[in-house]
Amino acid sequence: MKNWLTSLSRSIQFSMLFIFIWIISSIATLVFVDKDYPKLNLSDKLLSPFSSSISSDNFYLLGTDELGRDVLISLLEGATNALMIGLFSVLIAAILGIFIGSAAAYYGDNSLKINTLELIIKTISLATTLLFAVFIIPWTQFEFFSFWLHILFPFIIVILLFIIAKKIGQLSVLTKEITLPLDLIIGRIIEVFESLPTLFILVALSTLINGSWLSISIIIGLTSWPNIAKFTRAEFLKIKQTTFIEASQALGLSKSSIIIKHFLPNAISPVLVSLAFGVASAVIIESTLAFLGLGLNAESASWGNLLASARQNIEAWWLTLFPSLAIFLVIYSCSAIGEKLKI
Amino acid sequence: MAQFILRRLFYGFLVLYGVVTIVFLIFNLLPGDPARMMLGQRADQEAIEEINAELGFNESIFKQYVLYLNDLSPLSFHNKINLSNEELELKYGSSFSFETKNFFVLLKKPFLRLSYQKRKKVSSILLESLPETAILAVSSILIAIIIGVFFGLLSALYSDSWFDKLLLLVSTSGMALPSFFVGIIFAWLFGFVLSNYTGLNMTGSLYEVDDLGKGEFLQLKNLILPAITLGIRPLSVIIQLSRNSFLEVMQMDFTRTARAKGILFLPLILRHILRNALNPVVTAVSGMFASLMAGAVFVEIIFSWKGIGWEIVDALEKYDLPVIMGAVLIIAAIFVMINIVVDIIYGLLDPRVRYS
Repeated sequence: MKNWLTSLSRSIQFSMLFIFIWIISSIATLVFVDKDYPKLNLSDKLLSPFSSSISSDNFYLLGTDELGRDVLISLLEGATNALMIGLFSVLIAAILGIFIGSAAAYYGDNSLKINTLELIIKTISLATTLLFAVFIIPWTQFEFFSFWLHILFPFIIVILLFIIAKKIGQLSVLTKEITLPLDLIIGRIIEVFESLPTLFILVALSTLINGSWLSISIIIGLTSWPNIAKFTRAEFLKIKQTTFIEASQALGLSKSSIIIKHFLPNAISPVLVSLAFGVASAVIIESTLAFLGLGLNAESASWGNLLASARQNIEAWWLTLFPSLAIFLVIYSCSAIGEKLKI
Repeated sequence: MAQFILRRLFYGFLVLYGVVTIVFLIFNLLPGDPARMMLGQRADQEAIEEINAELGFNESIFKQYVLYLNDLSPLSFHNKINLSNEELELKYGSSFSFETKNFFVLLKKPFLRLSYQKRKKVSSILLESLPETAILAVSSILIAIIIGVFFGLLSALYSDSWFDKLLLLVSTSGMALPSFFVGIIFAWLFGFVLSNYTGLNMTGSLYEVDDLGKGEFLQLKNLILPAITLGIRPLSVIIQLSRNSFLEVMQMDFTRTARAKGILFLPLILRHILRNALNPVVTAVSGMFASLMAGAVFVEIIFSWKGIGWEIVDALEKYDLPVIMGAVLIIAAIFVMINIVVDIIYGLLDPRVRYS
């Protein structure tokens, strides 16, 4: 263990240390920081670092912003939000991207045969459920439990409709089968998502949501899966040509066990690289949205919010320095670790 | 080859269709009432209904979708009952048209509708701001290429020296910096703290209205800070790319032969090494350009540069949906077209691509 740590380069050790500090301080903030800690204190506005409060006995290690909020507390809460948004959005993007990318690579263009009637019913049911999900869900009232309810409900309906479609396809008179070029279709969908300018779409979508960290992670996750899907697909295509996959197919293993037991363990490390970069880019996107005043709602702190207030008070250097240092260190560490995983 | 190009164009068309559909869906999801935004708080019900009828908001969502597609497509059909000749001319401009019994059939430029707030064509608004963004993107990419290749060459020549290591650290950090953060630092440092020495402003656009209000004049010095800010990320990428590529070429046999023949240092670099080492840089730059056009938004906001990103955020504040939709569609269309051209060039160069 010790040997493994010392064999790493200085910058990787530093990055791992910083990520560790990031996680620990986020957890500590969640547990220890008092929710009733005085947020606004207009008599203490724009105090420089290492100064004590004028009206109370607080001591501001990193100074205060233009509303008298403690920069250190905002920084810590921003770290918590950035960590949660980074991890959760990457989780969503990873689930979508790995699933879609592996399906595209596994089936390719000419190995998925499907009954015509089944295909028609599945397409129609998927399209209507998606439309339902898009237009019926009250996106503006984005509560944690109602979210799961509203995501789960269309999901269950889709699965039920798919099972029905399969049964109808089996016993129907239309038994003609066609090959579905799944790789081609998924490739085009990924191309559509890549050519959309993601930030503009996020800026537009952020007017839809209520500004909780969960809703922001969802919109970031829903727009950043194509990258992970592409990585997974490329890696799966490489593995598909090896002999052990051929052997496991010849042995008659089921598709799911081939994908989970043989494809995924071999493809996971390049996918992990894209996940590490995904966390970095999610943190950038989060702070950018907050910088524009579109991300997290005003009560919850974010590094981007701090930077936006720094822009209003340009002579208060501590408002610019600390949040930008935090953003820089997070992104540097994530990409350094990603680069290390690549080799 | 013709079949390959046709197939690629067809896929490009499909992708554009998907982009239009997604953009339409997203922007119809947004809460808020454009009619009320246009008329203000005290609007009466009849006026709102009138506006809704004019914009087509009282139709079903599917009919709105079809109408939007009809407006965007170069070949469109219009019912004669709903549309007079003058309206046709006003909306779609001079276009080639012929009539059947019930329909006008038009061959036109894509119509991106009218802005809610400015009552102008979206295409003309975007045509004003697109060149500014293009100037910004082009100049930042030029800065990145010139400085990046120079530093890449230096750090390849003195590889593993302290200079090389410093440059590696700087360029790795340059890739990790979000552009809006570099923008704030630059604006603060060069536009505020040092502004007496540099003579630069914190914000400003390419054309400024002069103090007496006698029209606009060109202000080239406002380009410096945004272009450098936008160029930092490509600069870092180019430094590392060109360093590795230079190192590779310097170990090739022809470089050794040229040295053995006694060629001077400068001609060796210019004639033999530079030409061979620049290929990966050119590939990277062509890929970077499209993302720069979209990535310029934050730089534009920080420096108040009146380009397409500034226009979008401005439109978002005023809830001017056609402008945002049009801008997103134009950027996506540019991206798709660049992709098609790059694919066709690869296909021309490498026959294997055509059959995959």
